[in-house]
Parts: sequence; structure tokens; C-alpha cells
Amino acid sequence: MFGLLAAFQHSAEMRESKDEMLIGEIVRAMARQGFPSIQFRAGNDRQYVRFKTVTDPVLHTVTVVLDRKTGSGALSAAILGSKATLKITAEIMNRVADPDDLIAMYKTDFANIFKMPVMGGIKLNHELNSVFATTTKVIEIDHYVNKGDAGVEKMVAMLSGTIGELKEKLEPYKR
Amino acid sequence: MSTPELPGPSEEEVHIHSAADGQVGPLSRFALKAKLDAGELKPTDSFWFAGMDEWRPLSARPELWEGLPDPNSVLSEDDRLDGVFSNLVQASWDYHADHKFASHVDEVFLGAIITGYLDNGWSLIDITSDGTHHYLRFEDMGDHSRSIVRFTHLTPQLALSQVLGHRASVVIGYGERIKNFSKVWGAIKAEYKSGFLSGDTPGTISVDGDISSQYVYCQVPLFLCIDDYVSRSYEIDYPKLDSHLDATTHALRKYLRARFA
Repeated sequence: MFGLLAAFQHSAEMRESKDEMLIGEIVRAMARQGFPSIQFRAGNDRQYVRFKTVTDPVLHTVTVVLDRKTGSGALSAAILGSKATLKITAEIMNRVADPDDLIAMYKTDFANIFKMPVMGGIKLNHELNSVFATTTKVIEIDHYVNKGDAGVEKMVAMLSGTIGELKEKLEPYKR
Repeated sequence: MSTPELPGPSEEEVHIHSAADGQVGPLSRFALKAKLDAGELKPTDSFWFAGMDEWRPLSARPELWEGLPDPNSVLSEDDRLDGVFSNLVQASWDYHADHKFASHVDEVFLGAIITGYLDNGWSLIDITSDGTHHYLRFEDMGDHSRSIVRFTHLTPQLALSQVLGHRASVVIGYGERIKNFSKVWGAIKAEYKSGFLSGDTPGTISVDGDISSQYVYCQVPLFLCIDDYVSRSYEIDYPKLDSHLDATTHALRKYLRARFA
């Protein structure tokens, strides 16, 4: 009886831990690209991780927010699967110091600061030294975790493809 | 006749009277040279600038245009001041980056721990972090053993970290499922008793049990210097980190199995 209860408890823990497993794989995948984590905010069903894109000449940071929506309980997992939203934000930073460039940048920023243009599902947000591009996807966690190397490769392809799209949108703003 | 000092090369002080065009300028000496080179002015044309008693032919003062440096290589006062300001801002960016690094190096270390564990076959099954206090739990999906890492960055301020290094208080734990209820219960009692001892003395192994999941954990507090694993350029010494985590896990596993075999 004790063993049965423990097995049930273990199974529930593994079901609840799928989003943590995915965020762990994301942290590792980013580290392999030379992007170390620099900020974590992690709690129940929501993980926020910011990475410094040290080896990328264009990007400054990438932020990933994984927010689990379904599948923490056995019933919800059986009916809806393990759905989550994955919000990815890429940032470029222009360390502008020349006063003439600052004047030019201020005019551009002022024109863009209240605009959040949506380009193919990607939002651009222009702040003083930084420009951000954000996209949000609804994903099925089960496609990526507990699937061995194939699941990890699929996640890496999705992540790099998305970061590549965001970078493409940001490149024209890099000074 | 007075011989005043020549104006600066960029100062528009030189008045010209050209035989062809009449009054020209005032020009800078750079502009004067350009017009002479282009044939728009001749050395026989007259010039005057403040301090001179009378107009003189340009040929009387060839040093006005001879030996001038390339105008593109000479900064105007505006450019010079912009350069000084830019250097101040750049230095501030560097200062800001040092502060940011001091405050987030623990999170670089946290990511390195996750990567190190995953590379060694563990899966992350729990993470809690408020930015200062971090908790990680891993499970080996093969034998279902677990490892926990709990740490707090002790020197997040730049000045403190430059004196002491980036220090962290770390607790590493190792757990296994023990199917014998009485042994799990014994671990919980041991954990209760160990609560009477000082729990943060490095190297003191304490025991904890989770009756619902049947896991018994051994854990040890340590103090680590994050600089030993993470460089200022964000490079991670994974072999050293792996070796230290592996050695700690090995010691805890040995202790746990000896206690609950």
C-alpha cells in the first residue's frame, strides 16, 4: 500500500515537472550556443529566464517565458495535453554615446515608442537604448520532453528558428 | 608692422580680397588652402585677419596654408567635446556592466549547474528562484535517484565581490527511493534530531525524508566561490563544475547507502 501511494505520488510529480524539464533543456540548449543565463524567475507553472547572447554580434539578450496552462493534473493532461505558452523576446542594445546620434535616436524613439507594430506575429518595441522583438507561441510540452534526443532536437530547432526570425526583424535597428 | 599670431586652422578669420571675385571670406586656413589648390585664389590676392595693420599679399605669409595637416584629421571643438562626452558615457557603460555582472553572476552559475546536470543524464524536475535564493531538483530517469541544489549568492554587490570574490552558500543533496517505510520514518526522525545541531557547518551531512514520495535525502552545506567556475567573460569551466558536483554526489550517495542499506 505504501509503495502504491509512493508510485502514484511519483507519477504526479513527473507530470507536474514537464515544464521544468523543458526549461532545463532550453537552458542547456542556449548554453551550448554560448548564451549563458543571467536572470531567473521561477515558480509554480511559470519560468522566466533571460540569456545574455555573448557570442552573437547583433543580439544583446534573449528572454524566454514558459507559462504552463494545462496538464498539471491527470484529468487535464488526459483531455487537453500539456499546453503552454512560450514567449520569446530578443533584444538589441545600441550603446549610443555620440550626442548627434543621441539626438537622431531620440527622434526615432519618440516616433516609435507608442507603436507596437506586429510583423508576422512579431511585435517590435523600441525603447531608448534597446529594441525588442517578441513572439508568443502555444506549444505542446509533450512534443519535446520525455522524447529522448529527438524531442531535444525538435525543441532546439524551434528555439533557434524563432530566435533567428526575431533577429532578422531587429537587424535593421542595430547601429 | 605688427606680425600677429596666425589664427587656428579651423577658425574662419582670414578675409581675402581677390582680383577676380572681390571680397571673399572670412575663411579658415583650411578653406584658404582648398581655394588656392583649386585655383580660385592666387598668391597675389590680398588677405587680412584681426591684429594686422594692413592688407598684405598672400605670398607674404605662405605659412597660412603651407604645412597644414589634412583637415579631416583635425577635430573641430564640437567634435572634440563630443569625443570627451562619448568617452564618459562609454566608461559609464563599462561601470554599469561590472555592476550587472556582480548582481547576476549567481544566475549564470545557476544555468551552468542546470547544464552540467543535464549533460550528465539528469532531468530538471523542479526550479524555484526569486533572483537571490535558488532551488533546483533533478532526477535521474534511469534509476530515479534525485539531486537537489539550493544556493544563495552572498556577495551580489560589486565592491564586496571584488574584495571577497563571488561567494555562495550552497546545499547539495542526494536522494533515493527507500521502499521500507520504517527506514523513511527513521530518516525523518533523524532529520528532526539533526535540527538540534548547527545545520550550516560545512561538511555536516544531514538526513531528510519525504514520506509521500518515499525519498530519503542526504544533504551537505558548502561555501563555493562562483569565480572558480564562471569567468568575467561568461565562460564556464564545466569540467571543474562537473567534477565537484560528481564528487559531492558520490560522497552523499555513499553516506546514504551506508545509513539505509
